Parts: sequence; C-alpha cells; structure tokens
Amino acid sequence: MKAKRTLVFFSLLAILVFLLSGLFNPAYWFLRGKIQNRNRAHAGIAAEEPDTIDVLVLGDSESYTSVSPLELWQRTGIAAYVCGQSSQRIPETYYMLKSAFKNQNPRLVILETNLLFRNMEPKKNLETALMEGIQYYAPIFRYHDLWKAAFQEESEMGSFYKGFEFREEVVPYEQGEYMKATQKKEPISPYVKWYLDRIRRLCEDRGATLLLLSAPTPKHFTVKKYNAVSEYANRHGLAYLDLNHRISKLGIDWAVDTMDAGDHLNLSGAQKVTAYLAEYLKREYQLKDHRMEEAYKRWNAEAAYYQRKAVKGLETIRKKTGK
Amino acid sequence: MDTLLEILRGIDCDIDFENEKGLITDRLLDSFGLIMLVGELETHFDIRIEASEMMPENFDSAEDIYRMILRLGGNS
Amino acid sequence: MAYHTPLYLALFFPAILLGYQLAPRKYRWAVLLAGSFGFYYLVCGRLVLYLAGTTVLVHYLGIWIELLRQKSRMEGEREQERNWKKQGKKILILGIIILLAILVSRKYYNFLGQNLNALLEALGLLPYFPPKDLLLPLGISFYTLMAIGYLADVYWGRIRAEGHMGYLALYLAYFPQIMEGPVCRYSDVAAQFRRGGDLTGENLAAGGIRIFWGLFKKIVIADRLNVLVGELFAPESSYGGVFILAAAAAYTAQLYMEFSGCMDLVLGSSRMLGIVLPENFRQPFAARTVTEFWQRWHITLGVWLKTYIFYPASVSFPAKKWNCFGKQRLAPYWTRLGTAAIALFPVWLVNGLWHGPRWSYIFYGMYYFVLIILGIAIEPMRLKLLKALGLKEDAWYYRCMQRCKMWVIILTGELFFRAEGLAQGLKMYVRMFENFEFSPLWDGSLLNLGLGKGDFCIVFLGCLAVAAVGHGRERGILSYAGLQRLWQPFRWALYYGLILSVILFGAYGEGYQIVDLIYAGF
Repeated sequence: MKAKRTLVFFSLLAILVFLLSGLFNPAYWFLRGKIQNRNRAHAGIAAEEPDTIDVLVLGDSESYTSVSPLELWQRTGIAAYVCGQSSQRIPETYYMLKSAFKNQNPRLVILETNLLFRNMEPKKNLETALMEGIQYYAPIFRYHDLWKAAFQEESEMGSFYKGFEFREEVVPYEQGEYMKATQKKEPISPYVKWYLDRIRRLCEDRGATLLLLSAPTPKHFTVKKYNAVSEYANRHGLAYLDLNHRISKLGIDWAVDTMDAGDHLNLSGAQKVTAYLAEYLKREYQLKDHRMEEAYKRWNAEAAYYQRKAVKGLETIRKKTGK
Repeated sequence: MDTLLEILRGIDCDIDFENEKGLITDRLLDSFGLIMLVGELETHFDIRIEASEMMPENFDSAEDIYRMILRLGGNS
Repeated sequence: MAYHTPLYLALFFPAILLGYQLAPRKYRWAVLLAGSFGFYYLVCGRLVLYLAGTTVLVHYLGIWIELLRQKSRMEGEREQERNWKKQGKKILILGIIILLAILVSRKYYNFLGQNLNALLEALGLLPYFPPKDLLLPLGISFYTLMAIGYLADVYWGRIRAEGHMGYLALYLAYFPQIMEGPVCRYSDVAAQFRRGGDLTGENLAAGGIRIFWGLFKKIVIADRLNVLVGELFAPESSYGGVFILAAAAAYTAQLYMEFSGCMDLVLGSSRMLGIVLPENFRQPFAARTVTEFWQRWHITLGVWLKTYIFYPASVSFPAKKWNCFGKQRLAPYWTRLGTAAIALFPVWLVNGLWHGPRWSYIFYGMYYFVLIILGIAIEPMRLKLLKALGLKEDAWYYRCMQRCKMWVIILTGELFFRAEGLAQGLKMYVRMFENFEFSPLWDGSLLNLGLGKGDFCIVFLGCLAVAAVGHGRERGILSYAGLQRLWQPFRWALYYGLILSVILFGAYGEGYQIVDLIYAGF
C-alpha cells in the first residue's frame, strides 16, 4: 500500500515536471528574446526549423568568433549553425549535440578543438557532467528561470546570426611566431577523451561526419596541441583542419584580425576564416546549396541583414587600423 | 527539606516547588535563578556545588535538589 | 561539495543511503564513518589528517580520564577521590589546551599575529609575526567544541568514555553535521549510531520533505539575496540612508534562510538515515528578549556555551567570591548583576570570537553581552514602569512592541556582523541616519542592485511562506505529524508546490553563482 502510494506520488511529480517543461519551451521564448545567457545556443538551435541545418559547429568562444554561418550561406548556400558557448566544456558539447540531433540531421559536425584542452578538477568535472545530463533529460532545470519573462517587458530576439557573434574591436597580436615545432603532444585528459569518443560515436550513429577544426588563436594554440589532435584524428579516421598552419593562406593579418591580442578573431578575421572554410567544405563534402529553396527563404533575408551589418562592421575595423 | 523549600520560594515565589518536576527542562527556573539557588544552597547546607553538578537531573524538582544535597554530604 | 549541490543530492547522499541499508546492522556505523571521511576528503583533501589526529587524541585522553575515575571508585575514600579529581582535571585541561592550540594556530594565527605586530610597532619594535596562508580544516570550529564537550562530559562522569574508537570517530566526523553543526553532545547521537536501524518509509519521507524545505530557503531565498547583499556591503560602496536598512534586513534574511535552511538539509539528511540530530532554530524572530533570541537562534551553540562555559563560570572561584562579598556588603540587585556579568562575559567573548578572527565578531559578542546585562539591570525599573502604566506583560501590543524592539537589535547586530570589519560597520551605521528617506524603497532604485522585480517578488513571497510556517510551528500545529493529518490531496499539493518552487525559482544555473555556506566558513 505504502509502496503503491509512493509510486503514484513520484509518477504524478514526473508528469508535472514534464508538463512544466512544455510550458517553458525554449524555442518559443528564444524567439521572443527572453533567453540571453549561455543557454542561447541550446534555445537557438531548438528554434530553427526541423531538418534544415546541414552543418553544426560546436566549441567554446573560439567557435562563435571564427565561423560565420551567414557568411558561409552567402558564399555557398550551406546551412550551418554555431552552437558554441563561452568556456564550453566537453560534457556541454556532448549534450548540446544530442539536443541538436533531436530536431536536426546535420551531415557534418565541426568540433573546434580548443575545448579539448579544457580540464578542471575532478569534482567540477563530475558536477558539470551531472548537471548537463540532468538538464538534457529534464530541460526544466535549464530553462527554469524563464518564469521571469512574466515580469519583463516585451522584447525582441535581437540579432543572433545563427550563433556567430560580432566583434569589431581591434587589439593586435604582436608576439610573432607561435607555432614552435616540436614532437611533444599536449595531453588530452581521459575525461575529455571519454566524451570525445561518445561524440564521435553519436555522429557515427546519426550518419554525420565529424570534422575537427582548430581556429587561429596564437594565445591558445601550440604545435603540441596540434600533435595531440592529429594523433586522435589519425587513430579514428577523422578529418582535421588546422587553420593555425594556414595563416598565410587565410590571409590573416594579426594587426587587424584579432579583437584581444590573439585570443579571439574579430569580424575581419572571421570573414577570412569563413571564406577559406567555404572553399574547403565545397571541395571536401557534398553539401547542398539551399539558396533557391522555398524552405530557406528566411535565411536569405537574414543573410542580407547580416551583410548590411557586416559591411558596416568591417568598415569600422578598417577605420581603426587604417588598412 | 523545609529549609530547601523556603530557599526555593525565596528565589521565585510564583513557582510551585512542591509539585513541579521540570524546573530546568521546562525552563521555569532561568539560569540566573539557578546560580542564585546554588549560592544559597552552598551557604545554608555547607556544601560545594561544582560545575559537574550543574545538570537538569540535579535541579529539575525539589526532590532532585534534596537528593543532590544529601549526596554532597550536606547537613541542614 | 556541500549539502545543496547536485553532487551531494544526486550522487553522494543516495549512495550513502543505499550503502547504509545494504550493509548488515553491525557495520552500518562503518558505512557512515567511511562516507564521512570520504566527504571530508572530497571537500578538503589532506586536511582530513587533522580530524583523524583529533579523534585519536580525544579517544585516548577520554579513556585515561575514565580509568582514573574508575580507580578512585575502587579506592572509595575521600582522599583518593580528591587525588583522582586533580589528576583527571589536569588531563582534561591538557586535552582542552591541545585542541584549542590546534584551532587557534590554524584559525586565529593571522589575527593574533596582526594585532601583536601592531602592538610591537606601537612600542617602537619590529613586527615579528609574518602572515601565513593557512587553510582551515573543514568544521574545525564545530568538531573542536564537540571534542571538548566530550572530554568534559567524561570528566564530570555524565558519560562513560567510548571504548570503541569507531563510534567516537563517527561522532566527530559525521558528515551531515561536519560543515555547519548542529553542535552535538555525545549522548545525543551515540545510541543512534550504535543502533544502525533500517531505513523506514516514514523517516525517508519526513527527511525528504525537510530537505526540500531547506533547499527552498537556501537556493530560492538566501542565494537570491546574495547578489543584493554583496552589492550593498561592498567596501567601495557609499550607500546610505534607507539602503543601509535594506542591507541589514537583506543580510539577516539571507543568513537566517541559509543557516536554518542548511539545518533543514542536515537534519533532513540525517533523518532519512534514521538519526535524529538536535534542532538549531526555533522561530528566532518571535523572540521577545535577547536571552530568548539566543535560545532560539543557533540553539546548540547556546547550549554548548551554557553547559561548558556559563555554568562552570558561575560556580567558579571568582563568581563565588563575588557572591560572598555581595551577600555581606551589597544589595541583592548588585550581587545578581555582578554574578551575571562574571558568568556571561566569557560566554559572549567566546561566542563572538568563535565566529572568526575579526574584531567585528568580538564586537558582535560584546554587543549582545552589553544588551543582556542592560536587560538585567533595568528589569526592576521595567516591571515598575509596566505596573505604573497598567500594562500587562502578556498583552498583544506589548508583545508586538517587544518583537519590534528585538528586530531592531537583531538587524543592527547583523549589520556589524556582515560588514567588512568594525570600521566599515560603524561607517555604515552612521551613514544610515544621513538623508534617511523611505522613497528609494518604491522609486525603483532598489532594482539597480542586481535583483529585478521578479526576484524581489520571489524573496517576499518566500519570506512570507517561511513566516507562515514559523507561525504554525510556534503554535504547535505544523509539525510533520500535523502534516500527516491533513487531507491527502491537499498535502500532496503542498509537497508538489514545494518541490516545483525549488526547481523553478531556485537561484541556480546560468546567470547565478554558486553560494558557499556562510557558517561553514566559521
């Protein structure tokens, strides 16, 4: 009797939590500009029309300051989305991917490699993994703060550029060569490897190709890291595109293209990276050009809006640097 | 015993010391009343009450106090 | 890891529950002990050696004292009894000195060093004590008190020394109480540890509800107020007038919600294991006098101070000398006042100092000391005044007045408690009276301090809910047993409301910082 009552109690609780999760639908609230914090990426991808995204980009702040989906769209019609978060940790990446796979079927998943070398103490790691897991299975824990929307005025979504973030600041990087040749490898912790393997297998299960990408960043990247990632990529047959070895091909000028002395690229640097990436993706992968399709009408409009803003932004950068 | 009850009534005449069984646990006698009581008991019964005796078991009722006095070798 | 974090609630504690139930009765204490040391190690690593060392020390000293006592019983003569008493006392004092030395060296070294340096400099000498970076072993302030209490109880013959070091170790290390108390006496928990009873449905339910109630207070109300409090008490800030009042009120609310909420988490966790720990709070804001407040706030600390400092001080040599002197030369009023001062001064000095190595904490202790002595001093005048005005002590308006007076006292005390040092506390207090207007409370300036309209709403409603529950508890109608008597759907609705409130309104996730336990830092 007691056991049955307990069961009923918890079942009813589960139902209530499930109903609440429905009320706190991230896509709905994202489009009304109510989700502005780190959960933006989760909500943003949920707000996209199902089965429209072909390329998903994951990673930390390197990802959303280097790859511009709307720039990519302009050049190739490839539909990409950046689900990066500042200081993203790999469990967050894994569950972000899982959430994205609920509504989308990307053919290509690009993982920016900076977060592979982000490791904290075991307790924090465990806590992050635990919280991300809980938030995946019960999204109400992630979006619970939305009750505040009732107290806020009406707002609009604001520009989100498919996950890319605009930066017009220029702080030059002046330390010169940072790719010092060596055979050593930067260790990837077992904890990170475990999640990386799961990401890889998830992509395999969903028929998506995984591409590892290292964005140009003198502050964080080293040849040691290149060696470590290459080894992993070779071992598991993954493609690895390291942009730090292709600085001249990209045309990156460290006096102009970085917003914080080599930590992140700015709009100008991102444009160069995206241009190169566009050629690379066209060459290596069969990704459809959607520019003429009815379902992607909105993309064209958003890309046009983005271009207007981007032109102004680039102008600002040129003025700041006199180039 | 009568001397004891007199002393107790001198501390607080509102409490029914003959019947109450929870002077400390029911907070009828406060800490200061207790200290005053200790002082009086030491003088009148020629005993020494140490810190080890300061327990509810020894002060919760008049009987408890009386028993403690006898144990400490008091002569009324 | 702390009692309100997901690591504890979703992983550690369920694992302990499972391990406890699956283990045979005889070894359940061992599961708790292993879990407690594991908890300790997870929180502060190698400092667990301090806890282990203290346990071994206290264990053997306790047995030594016990053996001496038993020997004297066998001898049976007054002479031997006195000898034993002297020896035992020496060992007790040795133990206390060692325990305090460990505590002082880690917790108060820098404070003592600073002040001694200042003194040396004032005398024209060179400062001698360099500041050291010392980590504080978790719960050292709490378990040191418990260890001293244990030794004293053995010396006084109130308990027999524990022969089984495992039980004693568990007493000192027990993970629910290691971070913030309650400060237990050995007799409170020993039998419960030994029993190792099965987990029962009732204990699990009662404990579970209590945990959610604690989570509500802590992560919905207290953690939400943290931003506001941090902003208002920031050393560089220059808020004045009603903002200081708001600061004091906000911090008092945060402190109470967090500490009592944590106690709910702690007592709830322990209750789920079937072990009942003593209460630490009893609706403190219903107190009508300062003394009553300290019988309702941090109850176990008050009990410890009363048992191990107040009573021994009141029957100590100076106190008795004063009593004699007073009886012969002074009116009883003055004797009483003097005795109270002699007995209470060490109590409040220790209370203040225990909270930490800061002058503002000593001030806090002395603040309450002065208030209590004042209270005793004006007592006869107060009674005369009441009689003259024809007021009754139990009249509702008089009780209201007393409570309002208490709130002013409490808020002032907490203002000084939280301020970054005595100097800032005084500055803030003075600034409160400059340009005091009530208008900032409703013209929106409160919304610029880190909390929005929604946040304030939740805080108010939450405090209202807690006040309502407190009111019910004060009248004796809202215990767990009382809850069971309610109509089931209504009761379930309350439970669901509580759980969902915690999930929805908790100050966790993106946009919030994790707030460490305040009292765990003491």
